[in-house]
Amino acid sequence: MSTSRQYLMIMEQELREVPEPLRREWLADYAEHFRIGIENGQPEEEICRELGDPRVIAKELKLNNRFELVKTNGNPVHLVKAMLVGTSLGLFNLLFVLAPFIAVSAVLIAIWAVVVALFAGALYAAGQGAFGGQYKGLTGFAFAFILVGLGIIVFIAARALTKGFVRGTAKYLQANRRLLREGSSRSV
Amino acid sequence: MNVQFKKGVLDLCVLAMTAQEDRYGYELAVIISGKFDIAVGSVYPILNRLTQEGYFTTYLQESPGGPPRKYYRLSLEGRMKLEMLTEEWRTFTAAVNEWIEEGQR
Repeated sequence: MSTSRQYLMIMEQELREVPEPLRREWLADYAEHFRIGIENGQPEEEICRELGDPRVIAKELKLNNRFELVKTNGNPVHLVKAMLVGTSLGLFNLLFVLAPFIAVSAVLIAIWAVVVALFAGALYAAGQGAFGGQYKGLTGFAFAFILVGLGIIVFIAARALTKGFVRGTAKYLQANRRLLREGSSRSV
Repeated sequence: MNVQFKKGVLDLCVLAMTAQEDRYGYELAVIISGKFDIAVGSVYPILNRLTQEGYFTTYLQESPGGPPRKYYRLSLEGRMKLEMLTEEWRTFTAAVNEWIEEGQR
C-alpha cells in the first residue's frame, strides 16, 4: 500500500465520528494535496513528513470544528469537551487556562444558585399563601409573584452571562493555542 | 520567529495571500508552512476555519492535465477582516518600531 493511502486511512480512522459531508471534505483536501505534490514530482514520504502526524492533524481539525460549534451555540458541555481534547493534545497551558476558567465558572454557578433559591422561595411563599403559615393568603401569593419575577430576571441574566462566557472562552482558546511544528507532532 | 508572533499573523497572511488572486490549498499550505515553520497539514485546518467563519468561499476548477482543484476566494467579509487585521498590524508594528528606534538612539 502506498504511503499516501496509508496516511489518508489513518486520518479517516481518526475522523470516524465526524459527520459525513464534513469528513469527506476534509479528507479530500489532503487527498488533493498528495495528488498535486506527486504531480510536482515530490516523493510521497516527503509529503507525509511535511504534512505532519495524521492523528494530530485529525485532532486539530476536530478541535477547530468543536470551537466553531461552541461559538455558535454557547453550550458549556461542548466547551468542556473541546477543552479536554485541546488539553490532551497539549495545546493549552493548563495553569493559565484552567485557573481563570474555574474562578469564573464558580461565580456563574453562584448566580445560578441564586436563580434556584429565588424559585424555591417563590414555591415556599405560594405554599404558605395556599395553606396558611407565616404569610397567609394574598401576602404569600404576592411574595411568590415578586420572587418569581426576580427569579426570571436573574435567570435571563445568568443565561446571557453563561453563553457570553462560553463563547468568549472558545474564542480565547482558539486564538491562544499552540501550533504544530513542521514535520513532526511536536508542539511549540 | 517567535511563536506568539506567528499565531497572531497566520490568519492575516493567509487572507493577504488571496487578496490579489484566488489560490488553491496546496499553494497556500506550502507557502505558509515554509515561511512560518508550521506543519503543512496544519494549514488546512486554518483554511477550513476561515471558510467556516465566512471569510472564504471555495470552488472547484479544472487544472491543466489533472483533476479539479479546490480554490479559495476571499469573500466580502474576508476583505473587511483583512483590512481590519492589516490596520491592527500596522498600528502594532509602528509602536514596536518606535520603541526599537528609541532604544538604538
